Amino acid sequence: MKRRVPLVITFLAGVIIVVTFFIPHEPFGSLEQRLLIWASIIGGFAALLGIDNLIKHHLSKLFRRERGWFYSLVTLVGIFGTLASGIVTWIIYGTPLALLSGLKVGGFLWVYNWIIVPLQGTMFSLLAFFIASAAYRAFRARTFDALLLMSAAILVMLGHLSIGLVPALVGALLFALLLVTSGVYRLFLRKLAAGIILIVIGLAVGVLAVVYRGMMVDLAIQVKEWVMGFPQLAARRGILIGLVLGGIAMSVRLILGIERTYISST
Amino acid sequence: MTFGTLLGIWIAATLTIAIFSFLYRDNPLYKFAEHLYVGVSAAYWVVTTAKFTMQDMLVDVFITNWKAYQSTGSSTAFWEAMILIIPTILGIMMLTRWFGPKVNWISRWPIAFTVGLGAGLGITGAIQGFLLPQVQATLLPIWEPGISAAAPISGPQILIIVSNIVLIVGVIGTLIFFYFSRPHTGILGVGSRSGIVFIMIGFGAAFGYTVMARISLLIGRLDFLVNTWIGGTIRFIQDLVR
Repeated sequence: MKRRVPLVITFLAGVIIVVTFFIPHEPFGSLEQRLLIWASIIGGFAALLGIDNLIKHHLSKLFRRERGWFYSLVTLVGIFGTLASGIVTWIIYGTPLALLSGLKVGGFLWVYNWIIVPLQGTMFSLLAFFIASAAYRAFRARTFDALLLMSAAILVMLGHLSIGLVPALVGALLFALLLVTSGVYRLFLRKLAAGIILIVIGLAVGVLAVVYRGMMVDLAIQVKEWVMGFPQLAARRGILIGLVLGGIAMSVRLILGIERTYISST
Repeated sequence: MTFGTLLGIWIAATLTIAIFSFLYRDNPLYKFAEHLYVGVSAAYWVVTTAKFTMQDMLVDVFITNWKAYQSTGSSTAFWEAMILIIPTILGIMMLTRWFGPKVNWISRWPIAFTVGLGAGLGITGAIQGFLLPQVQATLLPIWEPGISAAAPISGPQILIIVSNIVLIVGVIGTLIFFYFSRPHTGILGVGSRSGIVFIMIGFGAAFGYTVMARISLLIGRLDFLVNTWIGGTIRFIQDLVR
């Protein structure tokens, strides 16, 4: 009862979804959509469990006066304040996401616009700084692979700049200098072939950037699009195909009851 | 601009600066904003789920069909309403986790149901929606038809051919790199090495793309602080003075 029934349910649900794919006629035709709605409804009940866990965790920290209890109070105020604004807006206007006349919005959307959006946007924008410091560590082009990583990143960033000719030209010349420096470093390491190739490529990039400086902006965009559209896409596609193949194998294991870890969590 | 909007702008600006204060070091102001974000986001998610899932997909559908059954006596409407009892019961079973180890095993049933659905979709949906289209998009021509001595190959044609070869070699190389069932020696070693090259370019390009996206967000937030917050406040005061 505790273990076999869940395995049977998983098997039946999985097989039904596979069968509905091959038989697109009634009653199977609409069954997949219906089952997905059911899963969303179950997810809605699970949301209660999630928020309940969060509230319990912070209430216990608050009542035990644990370290950082004040921040738990902030979280609880955030939860109950937002819930209250959502419920009140919902009751008054029939939907929590009420758009009123002009720029006016209901209380819940006000919370979204002035608290969630700025916090979320700033959190992600903060990563710009940390990514820059991570790049400093990751992009020390000591190996050929690191050089490739850095070159691709620089080319894509150059292609995204839309601030005119001079920055694009300076960027291209810096990139050329980087390749030449990396080549010289390899010469010091007695890797003659790699060093000479990098120096030649670096010089070629520098000369081309100066000769075709009028086309630098367009060229940078085209190079970025080529890198994103071919080598980057190839790597991404290879990784994703591998992931999907792994996912299919895992799905078969789940349906056949070989993989059972999900029923051992309670 | 209303007072409510101005208040919102000031709160948003304060929270923005609080988050940016982390650039100095971890501090109480940042922690305050971080914990507020967790609470507000969780509650936002619960309210939107309650509205768009529980009300729109469950309660409203049940009431509509029940009313249709009562007014027309339609058996279809009756069963459309009644069948919603199944996900409701499964959902309630999920809540048995609240009541301790004697009954919380019942929550495995709805979990098993959603896992089964996900596994089913993981086979059919992934194959039809992702695997086949991606493989199909990789089967590209590596030669342009119609090239002859009379009509020699042109620059753009060379670029297309080279790009297609790069894509095909890259996908195959990346797949070989993640194939661990045999040692990467010989042909597999060459394929694996080419895979590393493409993975490095791919990660580098993705990194560059992410950096630019984050910089764009940063510009957005700084623009908010300068134009919306400071500029908006000045405009509000000017309107008051007039």
